[in-house]
Amino acid sequence: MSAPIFKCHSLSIGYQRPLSENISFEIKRGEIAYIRGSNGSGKTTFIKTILNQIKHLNGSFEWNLDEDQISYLPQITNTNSNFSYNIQEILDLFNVEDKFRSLITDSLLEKRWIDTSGGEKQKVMLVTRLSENTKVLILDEPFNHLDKESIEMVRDLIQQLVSNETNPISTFLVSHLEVSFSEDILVRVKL
Amino acid sequence: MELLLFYKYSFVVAALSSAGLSIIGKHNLSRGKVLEIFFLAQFAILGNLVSKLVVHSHEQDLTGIVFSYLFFGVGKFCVNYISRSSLRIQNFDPYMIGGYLFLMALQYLIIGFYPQLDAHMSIGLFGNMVTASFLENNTLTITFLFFVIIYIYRHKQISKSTFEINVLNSKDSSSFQEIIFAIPLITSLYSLGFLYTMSFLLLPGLIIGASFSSEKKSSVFIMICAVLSSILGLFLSIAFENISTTSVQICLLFFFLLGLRFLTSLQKSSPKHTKTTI
Repeated sequence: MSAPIFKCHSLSIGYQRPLSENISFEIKRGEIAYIRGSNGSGKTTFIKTILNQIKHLNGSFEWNLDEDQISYLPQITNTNSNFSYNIQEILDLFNVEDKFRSLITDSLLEKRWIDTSGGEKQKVMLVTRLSENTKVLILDEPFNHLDKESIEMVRDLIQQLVSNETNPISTFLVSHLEVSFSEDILVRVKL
Repeated sequence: MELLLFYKYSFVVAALSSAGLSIIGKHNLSRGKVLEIFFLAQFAILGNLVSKLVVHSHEQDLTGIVFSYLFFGVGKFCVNYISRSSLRIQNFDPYMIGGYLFLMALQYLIIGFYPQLDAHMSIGLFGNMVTASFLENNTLTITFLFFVIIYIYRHKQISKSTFEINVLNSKDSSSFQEIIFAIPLITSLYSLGFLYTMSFLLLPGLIIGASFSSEKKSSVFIMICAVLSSILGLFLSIAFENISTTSVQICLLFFFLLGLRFLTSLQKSSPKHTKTTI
């Protein structure tokens, strides 16, 4: 069994006062830490804490990989843009390697960002976070405001990345929605 | 012909400034900075007025432009300070409008006490490419050339930042990028006026920014429209003395952009296009 790539023990997160306490779990390569919680439970604060953007209040956490192997995708906040970027151009902007471009279909490559569905937008942004070096993906509310079909599209991509045989990517998935994944790769965390 | 040759530097300024401003504007529009620029532009205009009042600067020296830079910088510092303060303001836009109105009122209050500044205030607002001094033309040319070179060199990085700010509300704005956007902007505000600068900054991206099949095409057409209207407007104002330069340039820009918007929407709704997209 491989060693955990991340573990935390009795972690308390928050600012002046704790938003969540006693968080303890660990994940290995190819697993999904599904972090769920209601509004205000500190889901985004948890991400900021493990990315060392804010200090934790108590307990400890530890990464067993380098900082540049962690990719973070914040929540997509604006879907009404005033530009003409097509998906091909966006992948060029982010220097996405050919290996990961193949995750995007040819018909989607030609589409403009503003004409894509919520699920397609999420999928494209997810691909922009991938490189040969990526071992961990941290996704903040990737299913927010998506319809059922789009949720499935994003879920399938995550599942595909996590179960990749040569380079399985572990995922921290922060969401208030329940989306089903294979239970054997799932680590459930409730905030 | 002689008249056109006499104004040859103005034509160079017209081409460079319109292209540069339209590209800067496209980024600022996507970054949600338009109202902030309206606010900061008032700081720059106020700086110019203060330079006329305090050190009696004129068009043959650079004191006015230095004051514009200083005041714009002070404004930017205030905006950054407030955004990082404990006030936790989520939407800055209404505050920018409030600040814009206050600074405009302040300028007219100053003019009430010093009426001789009224002419400078008019030039600050409406500008005039034709009457720009040799020094102003040179400063504008160098500034915009400097911007174009840096933009070509750093285009990908700048566009990536703009995209992330727009889509992910990323807060990682680079000071370097803000500076290379601000330098041509302030120089243009000082020499070409508020109306010209803000129109060429805002209108192209706003009207046709999202009308093309790729961002590359969009940038090219935006620049062509801007350059054509600025040069043609300048030519018309030289040829016909009743035509005001800035006004005709902006009107031409507006109509060119609307025309192009109409053409692109026609192309999208044509049966051939529908067939290909399906």
